[in-house]
Amino acid sequence: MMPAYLDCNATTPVEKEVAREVQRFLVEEFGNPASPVHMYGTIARMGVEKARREVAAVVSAKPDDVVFTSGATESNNLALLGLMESGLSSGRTHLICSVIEHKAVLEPLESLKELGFELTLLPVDGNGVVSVASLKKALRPETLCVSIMHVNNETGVVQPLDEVVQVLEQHPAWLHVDAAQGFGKELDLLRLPRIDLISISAHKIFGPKGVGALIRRRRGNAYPPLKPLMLGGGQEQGLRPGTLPTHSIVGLGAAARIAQRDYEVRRDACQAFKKELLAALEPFEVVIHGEQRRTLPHTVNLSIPGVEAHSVLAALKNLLAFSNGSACTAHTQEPSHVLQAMGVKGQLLDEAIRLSWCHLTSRVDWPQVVSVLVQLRGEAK
Amino acid sequence: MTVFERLAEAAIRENRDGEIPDYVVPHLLEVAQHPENFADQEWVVEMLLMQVEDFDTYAESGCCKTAFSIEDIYMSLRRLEIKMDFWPG
Repeated sequence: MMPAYLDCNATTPVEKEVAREVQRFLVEEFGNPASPVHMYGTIARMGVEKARREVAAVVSAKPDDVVFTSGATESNNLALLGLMESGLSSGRTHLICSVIEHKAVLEPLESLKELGFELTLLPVDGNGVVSVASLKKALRPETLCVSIMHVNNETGVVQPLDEVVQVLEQHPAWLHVDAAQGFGKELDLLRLPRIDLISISAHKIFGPKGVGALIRRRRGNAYPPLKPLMLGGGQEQGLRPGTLPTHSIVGLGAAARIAQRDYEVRRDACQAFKKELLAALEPFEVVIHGEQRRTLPHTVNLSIPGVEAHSVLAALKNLLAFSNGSACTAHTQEPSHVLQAMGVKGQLLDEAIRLSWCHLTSRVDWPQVVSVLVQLRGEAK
Repeated sequence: MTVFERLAEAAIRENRDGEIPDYVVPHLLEVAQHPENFADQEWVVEMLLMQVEDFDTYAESGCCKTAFSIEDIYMSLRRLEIKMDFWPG
């Protein structure tokens, strides 16, 4: 029997309803949406345009605002590196992001330092919440862009974008939000019209891998002045050339539509699962990382005192599939930069594990899990 | 509200308040009022609904890149095997 899947922040299983739509546009409706001169191409184009509306609806954007990409990593790169030329030509070469951003934001911004940009990293408090007061202090007239994530991938903590927006009210800096972990799971914050750029991925919301979007909002009549990172075709309003992967885009659209439709059902299922999980682990006096009132109900990052994360992973591998941090950095064995930024130190850092589930997660044999952990802790002593 | 009910409502509304031409409406209602004939093609009906809601006479002429033209609607109706006098073939 496969272990219960508790690594939904790395990727989610695909909803059957989504898979059916992907299959249709992969096999039967295989036309190129850029060739709408016959019925094959027209149907493909309709699939893409319907998906565009479905994605836009989740954040109250307009269909034109949606640019399909290969996922949030590409969207982050397009948003941040795409602003480079505008920054260089206007002399606005100061960038701000939080210290707990995903590497897909941190690394593009770091790369801009080599071209003369300056980067300010905002700290977080012990609860994993970005310091808005630091943002206020860090802003300068030449600040080009502020990038703050929606929901942290390791802790599940929702960041105070409403307060960030207030701080930026009178400042022209572009606001980019990496929403890979929160799109379709927290619906209010991404609808704030002051957010200029939003990066999303389908595979975090029960859609296929390899597809996502960058959602841009107009400020006045103009979009943020992005330059494409690739050339060769005019697709996606010239920002992302290349033949559109219709089936994947249709899958993203379906996943976005269902996320909105089933929002409450999914949230309730995740809350019930979390209650069970925390009740089962209560005897171990676990230390939870991240402000729980601000955390989405499908994630918990915790340390089990006295047992290192790699031992827990190994001991429970037949019962639970989970990780000790971000999927993109878990293989490096480096301590989490997110937990370190929160002030988590020493043993607690080595003991931290991330459990993330969803409405599709199978039942867990908690008594068995507890029994394995009791034995493991006994051995560790 | 089903997609068929929404299509009926949109066809009438967009004809009255929008730019959907009179001659298309009976064909749209033919779909909307006979869901039993299109049970396995509901996804095409969903696309048709989108086209009716975002119809623009000047779609694809430069300023309305994501709007839909009469030719788009025609393609969907043909896909649903609706016979139309107004369109050759």
